[in-house]
Amino acid sequence: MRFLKGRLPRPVAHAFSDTVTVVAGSVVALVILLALFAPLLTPYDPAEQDAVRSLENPSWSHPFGTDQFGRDILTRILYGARISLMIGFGAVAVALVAGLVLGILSGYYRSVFDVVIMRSIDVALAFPLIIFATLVVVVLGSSAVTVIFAVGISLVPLFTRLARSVVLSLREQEFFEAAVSVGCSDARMMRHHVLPHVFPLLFVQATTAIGLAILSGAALSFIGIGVQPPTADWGRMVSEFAPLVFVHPYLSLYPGLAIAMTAVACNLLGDGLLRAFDPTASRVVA
Amino acid sequence: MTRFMILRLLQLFGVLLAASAIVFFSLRLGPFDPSSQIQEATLGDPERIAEVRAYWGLDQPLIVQYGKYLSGVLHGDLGRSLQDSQPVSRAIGDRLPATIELAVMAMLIGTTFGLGMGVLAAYKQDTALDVGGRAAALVGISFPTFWLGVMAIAIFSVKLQWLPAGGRFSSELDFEPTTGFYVLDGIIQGRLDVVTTALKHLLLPALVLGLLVAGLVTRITRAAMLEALGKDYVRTALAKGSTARSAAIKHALPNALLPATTILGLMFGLLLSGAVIVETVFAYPGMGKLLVDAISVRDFPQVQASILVLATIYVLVNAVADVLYVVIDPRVRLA
Repeated sequence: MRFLKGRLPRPVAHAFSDTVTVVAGSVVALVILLALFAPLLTPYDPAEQDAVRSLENPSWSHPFGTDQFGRDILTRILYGARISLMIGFGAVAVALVAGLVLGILSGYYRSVFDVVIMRSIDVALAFPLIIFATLVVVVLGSSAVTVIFAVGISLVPLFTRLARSVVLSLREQEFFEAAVSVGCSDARMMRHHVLPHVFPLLFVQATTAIGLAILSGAALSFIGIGVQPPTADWGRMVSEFAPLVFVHPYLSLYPGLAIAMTAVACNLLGDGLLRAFDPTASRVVA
Repeated sequence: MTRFMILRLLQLFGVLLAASAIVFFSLRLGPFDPSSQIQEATLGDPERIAEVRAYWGLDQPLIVQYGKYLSGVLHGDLGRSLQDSQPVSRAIGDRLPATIELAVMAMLIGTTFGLGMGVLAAYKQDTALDVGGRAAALVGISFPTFWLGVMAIAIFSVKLQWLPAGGRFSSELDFEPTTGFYVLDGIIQGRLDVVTTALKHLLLPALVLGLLVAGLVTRITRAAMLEALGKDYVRTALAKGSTARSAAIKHALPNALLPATTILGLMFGLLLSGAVIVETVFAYPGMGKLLVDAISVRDFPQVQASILVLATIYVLVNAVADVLYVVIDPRVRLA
């Protein structure tokens, strides 16, 4: 990675010098590529059923075997990566944007914004994460989009609090006071003095939250209220294989390991970036 | 201190009130809106619809319905299930002890392993023990709980046949619960067979849930312990001739445990979230399973009550954790 030196912001370069982070990043990249090129990698359709080929053992034509509906498991794993990544990145994007806006409103403008936003966050935090997400999905109906939204909303408090605390600490600094006293407009303050400080920290928090979002989305699918069949989803696959545990105990290894591997890689990548950006920070899992 | 407690209590009521409003109104917006269900159930007969709506009090304005609901809740009436018209509080009364039993067991397993692992990993930093501890913690927080549950059943119930695959108790045993906490009931009634059966059913779900907690606790404890070990008071203790081990145990550990108490509330949220999933995997009749089952049959009073009860427990535990933190750490009190 030496060729990258000097071309990247220092923390990113630092993260690239850590083997574990590089490996984790490569795994995440690999999963993204597999998801993108899924149609080119497999001749099968993830939803196409074939009753004759139900529950076949692994073979050359079906490397992971087939499920109870005769669908190729490997194909469903590849397509399932799309859903998982969409939920992971989508939910975190929702939380990042909402948290950024709410946190800055709350910390920068204070007054009534601060009171209303922070009290609302307190109420949202009255619900444990999965239970809050469950409520949102139940109200909006089950689909991949509502799962993204539900998990995203559940993560908003995490990002809002972080953004607010960063803005509050900025307010104490001299450059900030100086900018205010020379009459910077709010827009200019945002562009030059608030966002450049808040965004990197929230971005790092976002990378650490992707694993959590993927796990939460899969959990919602597993309990039957998330992504609906016949869409290929890893969490849903584990729940479809669960009743077969007495005959084919290890079928759920495939989707389970796919989720686990992706979540571990995301978490390690997030940890690595967090260490690189802020060596003193200890990570909090919501 | 009294002021802090009173403020915290007021805030707690406000949060619970707002939470109840969110649950009540949001459930009436989506596919759970009872009127659409009544439409289906009565085949659109207008007279029957009016009758059913009046029976459930749905003919009144929403805000009046909410007021009535709230006053009912304060009197211990959480509504009636749409399935069997039984008070939902009865089902919750049956299920809550099961979830508490599971959560306590998981917490015991999780904190014991987590604290031990965290302290050892920090004390032996960068050794094989540290790497192993960190890897185990990563597994705990990154592996999907539901999948670990399915694999635990595949290995310990199907392959080895050591433990039951699900449920809370064996139907073959003749047993009348007193408190609803089966392990406790077994002890009270002096029946060893009840205790062992209940524990056998509890072990796998509690282990799976405990692993999640252990992962979080290990990470926090290790970080806190590393920080404490680098502090001046540890260096002073070492300079005065204390052994590394005694400096770690006597000086670093008590300070490292402090941050660990702050995540108590967080951990409990994780336990409740996890319970919803683990109970589904193991068909364990607790609050989480009750909620998931109620959702699948669109029983909105049951869904509403279950979410509200889970949120209330969570908020209460968090409030207790806050107070506890102030009691333990005088610095917070002075600030």
